[in-house]
Amino acid sequence: MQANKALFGLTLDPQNASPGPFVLGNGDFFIEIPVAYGCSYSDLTLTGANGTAMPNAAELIDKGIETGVESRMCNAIKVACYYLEAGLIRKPDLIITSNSCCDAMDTLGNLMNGYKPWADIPKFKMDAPHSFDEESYRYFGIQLRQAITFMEDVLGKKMDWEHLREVCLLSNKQDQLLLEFQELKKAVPCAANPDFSRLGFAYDRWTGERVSFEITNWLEQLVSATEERVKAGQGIEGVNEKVRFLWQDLAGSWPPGLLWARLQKELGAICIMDYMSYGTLTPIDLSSDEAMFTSFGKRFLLEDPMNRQALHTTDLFCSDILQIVKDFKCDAVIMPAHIGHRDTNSRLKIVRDLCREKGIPCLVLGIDIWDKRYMTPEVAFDRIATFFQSTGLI
Amino acid sequence: MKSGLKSEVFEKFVKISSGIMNPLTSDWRNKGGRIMGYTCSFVPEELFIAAGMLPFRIRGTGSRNSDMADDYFESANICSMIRHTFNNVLTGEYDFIDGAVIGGGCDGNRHILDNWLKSPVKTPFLDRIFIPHASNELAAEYFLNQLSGLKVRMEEHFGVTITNEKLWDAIKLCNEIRDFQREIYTLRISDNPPITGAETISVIVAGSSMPKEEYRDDLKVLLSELQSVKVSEKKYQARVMIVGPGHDDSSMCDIVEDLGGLVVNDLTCFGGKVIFGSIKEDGPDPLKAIADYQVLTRPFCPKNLGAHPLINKEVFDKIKEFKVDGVMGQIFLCCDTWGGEIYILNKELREAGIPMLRIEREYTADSTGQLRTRVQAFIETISGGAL
Amino acid sequence: MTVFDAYILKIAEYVEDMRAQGRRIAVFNVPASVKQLKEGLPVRVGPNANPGIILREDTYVELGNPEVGSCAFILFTDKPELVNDGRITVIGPDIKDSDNKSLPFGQVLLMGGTELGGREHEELKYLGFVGDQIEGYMVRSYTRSIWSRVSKDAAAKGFCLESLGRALMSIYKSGNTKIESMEALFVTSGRGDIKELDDIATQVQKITREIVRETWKIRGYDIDCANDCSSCSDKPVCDDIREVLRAKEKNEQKGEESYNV
Repeated sequence: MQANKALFGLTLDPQNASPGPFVLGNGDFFIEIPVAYGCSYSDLTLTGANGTAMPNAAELIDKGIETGVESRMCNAIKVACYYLEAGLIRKPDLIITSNSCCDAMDTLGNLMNGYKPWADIPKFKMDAPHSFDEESYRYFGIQLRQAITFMEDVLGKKMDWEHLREVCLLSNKQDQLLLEFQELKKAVPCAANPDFSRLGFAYDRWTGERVSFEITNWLEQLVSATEERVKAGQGIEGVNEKVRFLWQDLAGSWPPGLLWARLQKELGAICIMDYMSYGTLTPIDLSSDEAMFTSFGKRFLLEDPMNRQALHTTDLFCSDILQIVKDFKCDAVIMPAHIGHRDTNSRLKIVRDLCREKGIPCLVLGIDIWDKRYMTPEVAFDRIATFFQSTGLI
Repeated sequence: MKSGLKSEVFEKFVKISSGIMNPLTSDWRNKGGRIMGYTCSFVPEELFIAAGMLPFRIRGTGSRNSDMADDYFESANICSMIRHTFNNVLTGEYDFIDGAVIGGGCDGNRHILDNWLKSPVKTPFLDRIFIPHASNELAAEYFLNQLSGLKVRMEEHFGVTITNEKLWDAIKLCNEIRDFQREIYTLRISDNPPITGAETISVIVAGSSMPKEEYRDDLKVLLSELQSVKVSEKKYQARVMIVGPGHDDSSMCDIVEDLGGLVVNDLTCFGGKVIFGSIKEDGPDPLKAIADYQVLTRPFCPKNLGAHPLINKEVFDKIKEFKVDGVMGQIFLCCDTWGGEIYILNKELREAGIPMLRIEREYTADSTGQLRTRVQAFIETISGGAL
Repeated sequence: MTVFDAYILKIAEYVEDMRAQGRRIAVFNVPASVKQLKEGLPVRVGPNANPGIILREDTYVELGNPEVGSCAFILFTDKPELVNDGRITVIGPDIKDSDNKSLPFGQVLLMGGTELGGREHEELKYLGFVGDQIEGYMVRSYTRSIWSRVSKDAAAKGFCLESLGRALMSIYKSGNTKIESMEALFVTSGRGDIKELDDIATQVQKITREIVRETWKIRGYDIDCANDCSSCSDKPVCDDIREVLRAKEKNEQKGEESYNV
């Protein structure tokens, strides 16, 4: 949570600024690069998303709607647009945008690139292709390499390649720990608080703070402690586990606290996996420069949540669902069908049909994961409870 | 409003653009010709022409509801243009095509292919290319590789050979067509254009639904007819430009022009974008020429992060050249990409003192009452007085 | 389904190439029937055979950690005679020879059956998510490659790659009766050898993508449930259920035994 706050503060409050140049993106970037460069990196989409978790979230969302960008756009992006247009974002030294991973983030990128007060800020634009093959990894890897050159030109400082390798090695080590933690979630009952893996993966890709020895030690302790719980056959504290479900979308700002927590407590239903928590990270290949950047590209396009889920074809999306259900012994799939999430909402029938074919109970909700006024937590709980009851899961 | 144009060619274009299947396409089919459907102007027709096929741009024309498509695309979240277009696929309107190439632009558009593959519509050849999101040499090279891959797959599936010579011929043909189309647009610079915006849409859309050589020849005839028309009476109050996605039917133009406006230009997916520029006709590789054109010369889709400066320039240039009084930015509900673009343009136009009306609507011209009221108010405002 | 035939032959060439390069190769010929495959196995095979997960400290050897190299894919054909039923080929050290290290791991499963076609591809891939079906063997949740662990207990019982092959064959053959012949190849000899296998996998993946697309094309659809509650024809039923459950809950809270609906 401290890293979350730090990230939020980084963008909005200049007094929280860490030393070093500030790079702002519309979405995630290859975090190892700014970290190795000694820059802080923030993601305006995440800033908007964090805004929807604030006490004045409703007000911020309404202000986002008032900007008039597009009425059914994702609210996290609308809040980000509001922050931008209201001049609340700390002026960055560099802007790096890409189309990943969705239309709304792409739009935010356009707004950032066209924002008049920042006309003088150097900008770099990247094309994240929708294919996952060697050619695409190489293509994106080349662009990441170009991004480094761009940063060097603008900041007048060369990248310390040795330090980048060190950061990548540390990143690899942390990823191994995250993946180890993910495996522990297979235990029945689940000993690992799913919140930790969700946050872990989020920090993994979004915050520079996590690429540190302190975080590595924390992850090691988390894994070890969870292993002990697995050995003792313990589940999550205070939870009588009855149902394990896959939440096939982002968690959002209110569902974990107001919905999942209640589902855990009252129904013994655990969100064993969500979009952000499903890591399929392969180690960054440091055998050569070309291999390194191609593996950066692969990491970004195919392995980072939510690029993996949003950028690519439906067969990959569905294959992941089946694998998660089987590997993690999920009893059901819940598709939040978040308002404004275009790519997921273009695949609902395919997912429903697939689940029906495989005999996996599947519920499509239709909520707004950032604005709980659209479908309140009580109604969402009610629907999920009915679904579990009518499918005999509880 | 109608221009009063009396032309057999024009009537032919109106008939073709107001439906899907038409006699010319039917005739082509009956003579054993193959037809390739496609979505999105980034998909190069030249490739299909070089393969001896008739390129047919897939539209939602005539679709009154999207019930069947709504099962695939969630109706509150996906733009109605995509849903109506796919609904036409599901109801069999495109059963006559031999294949389709989906231009993977926005999130919804990209998934037309996945859903098509899942549907009971058995189109023999279904493929996809992805629209670049940056406008530079590297992106053009990546797009070229995509086109090369598509070419090979088409050759394998259809048993044809797409030679460089055929590609150059196709490029030449399409360039000629774009030249004629631009000339027709240019006629609308005059104070008393011989053709309205709604009529122009029919002309342009027809071109994506009939054999290309015949279309070129017909355009030539129409152009000549239009050039000889003398319009003495000014029948409108304000000159309007439309910017936004889609625009494959004249409903928006009809509303504007019924209320005293005249649509003199547009930058839309079926209009101004399609006719822009020309593919270079020299060079060693025709596919590269096509890729460069799409990525470097004509990257007008706001999904492309580098597109806005070009969109801005084109809009401002055309406002000046066509003496536009006001711009209508239309967005389909749930279109994030154009939503952002129109938002940015709106600010820029306002700063420049150019009136803009931003309209969010559904693809089908429902709620025309509401729309009409807003458009009427806009036209009154920019014309400087009551109609 | 003949699209993979050339690749089945390529795998055979790959094995011969490894042999020519002097790799240690062990070949096992195991029985064909599911019952016989399971007989004599040192570990249990079947649903819930490995209910727990294998922790780091309980791991004897890790196979296919991406840091050392990993590759896995399946190939199938409608010509069962192309596949050597019951053959398990191991190139490189076996589990007991691993010295508790992390071994690179390549796994290729070949299947033949006259009725095996594109439609079976997804099911066959799904069978590969073995989950908890092999005692002492845990496959980590990973895509395209295989990253797995063998427990100390299983290794002590004599679990080896031949056991793994037999276990997989029994799982696949009992999961899909169209499989008439099945062969397994395991490679643990080195990252370079895995890379060569991965090159074949890349080509195979292009074909499997086409198969997936064709398979989706053949499927129909039915509109019996809309995509959100408001337009679902079953919504009244759901609403009724919800009302019943609410009433029941209320009455239970009041301590009443009966209720009217």
